Amino acid sequence: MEQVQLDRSRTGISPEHKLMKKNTIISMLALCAVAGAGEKPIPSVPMSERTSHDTLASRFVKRQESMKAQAVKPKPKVPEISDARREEWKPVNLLERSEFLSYRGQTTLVPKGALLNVPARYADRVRFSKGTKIIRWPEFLRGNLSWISTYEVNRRQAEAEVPLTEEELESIRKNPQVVVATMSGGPITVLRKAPETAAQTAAVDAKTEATPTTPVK
Amino acid sequence: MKTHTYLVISALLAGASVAPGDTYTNFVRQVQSVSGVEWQVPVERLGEQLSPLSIDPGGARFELWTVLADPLKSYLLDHKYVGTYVPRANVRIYSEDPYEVIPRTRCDRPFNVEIAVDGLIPDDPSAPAAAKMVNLYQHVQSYGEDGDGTEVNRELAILHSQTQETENGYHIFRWGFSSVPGADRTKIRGEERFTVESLDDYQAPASQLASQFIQIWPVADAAITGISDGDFIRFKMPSFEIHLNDLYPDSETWAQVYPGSPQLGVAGTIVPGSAVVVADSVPQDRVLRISDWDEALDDDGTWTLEVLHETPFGLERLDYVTFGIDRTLEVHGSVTTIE
Repeated sequence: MEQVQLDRSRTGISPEHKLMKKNTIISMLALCAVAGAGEKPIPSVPMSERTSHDTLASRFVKRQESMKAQAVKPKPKVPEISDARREEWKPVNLLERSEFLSYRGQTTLVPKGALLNVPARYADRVRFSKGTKIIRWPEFLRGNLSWISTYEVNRRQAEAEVPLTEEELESIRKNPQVVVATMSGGPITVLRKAPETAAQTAAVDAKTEATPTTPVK
Repeated sequence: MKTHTYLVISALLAGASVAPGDTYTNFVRQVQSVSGVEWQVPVERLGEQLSPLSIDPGGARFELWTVLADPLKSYLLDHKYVGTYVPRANVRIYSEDPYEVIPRTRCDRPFNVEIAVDGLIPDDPSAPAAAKMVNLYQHVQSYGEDGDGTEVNRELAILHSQTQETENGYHIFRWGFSSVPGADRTKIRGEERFTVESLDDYQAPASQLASQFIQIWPVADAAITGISDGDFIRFKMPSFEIHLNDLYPDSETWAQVYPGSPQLGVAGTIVPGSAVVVADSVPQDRVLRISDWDEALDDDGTWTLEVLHETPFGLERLDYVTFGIDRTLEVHGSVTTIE
């Protein structure tokens, strides 16, 4: 009985067969490198087995139980806030609080109330044009100085504590360009009238209640 | 008392995973609580400056938005409320993954949540509750099977835990693994958000002071097909496939062989054509077809084929098979000669 060893080149790309003649038994030494055979050291690296669902689930359940067992802290006393107040306090969609300026494929946003003057000839540029690229205000202003100018205001003017004078407003209205209110270069809302404080609202309500109404005959 | 706030604006586009080809533009607004006046911060993509719009006693909210042009839509990436006596807070989350764009980790790995609180006056009996403590919330949200967070509605996040903090300073919370819900705990994908909020107050309802979230990705798995445990190979090595699922966004995966029975931790011979490198923002799936790999097996005997997966969390074995090779031919016959 002959055994033919599959001859392997060192590169191991493809085997070659060698056929030995005349009852030659070629036995191939099986170099089974069984672990622990001690023939050559097997290099090792730090490695772990993939974690299992059972292991993680067990840890998750234990942690949930320990969290339930923790003492509940007493709630502090705070003012009652209505749902309506909470709702109005939430950040509103930015787009609903903004004005758009669009020209030549570009659009930017400014806060509502920042546009102090919009001449009729530029009315079609004060809107969002579909297909345009949205860019930031400083970049948009640089490219559109031919039809946009800015008017610097301070905080008190913006919040109408010290409203813009009639002369200032007239000067703005006469400007042939679109005028955007800014503060330190950033567009800002300019209120026409200072918001009523809570104290003022309460005083108005009290006065209304005290005023007698004339009965209708 | 009017105060100014130092604004630090950083690109937080990663809050909403950006689909390829989309262009987003960021806007920062300071909204005065009492008057409603809005000021748009004229900073570049990354920068910092002192806000010139002083904060009224009623406080102000700072909002970071990103706007997509087509379809026209805005996304709120972050917001902070600043008030005269409301404390300040910051949330930082870090894990073993050094990815800088957004905190992320795997569902079986730990992460730390560092909360810094400043401005609490717990010892003043006359101070309102909002000046003495803040609420800490942990919300969790699953992205669903195969989800990547692009279209997730964060309003639907689930409150998982809450507590209060009454002391200024750094508070570190360590989580050993994720709490995102899911039936298979190794296949969780979603996010966990940690938020610091002020208490309800006459000035303003409970408002976000700081918030940060970490993305959670599943554990990878692999399956070798075409070679089974106990197979006995006589000639050329058969082609086989490796099915890889949920490869971690920063990972290298490969197959190796070594002589002998399976042992964890062996550095074997890499099977040619079996390496996959992933450097992405979401997990990846792959199917590898391996053929003509005889060169990796230089002898007969018992061999083990393994699939290894290396991530920032270490090296792990995902699957293995053990098979035998015997390529010795036995020829039965005789040769005679005639002279």
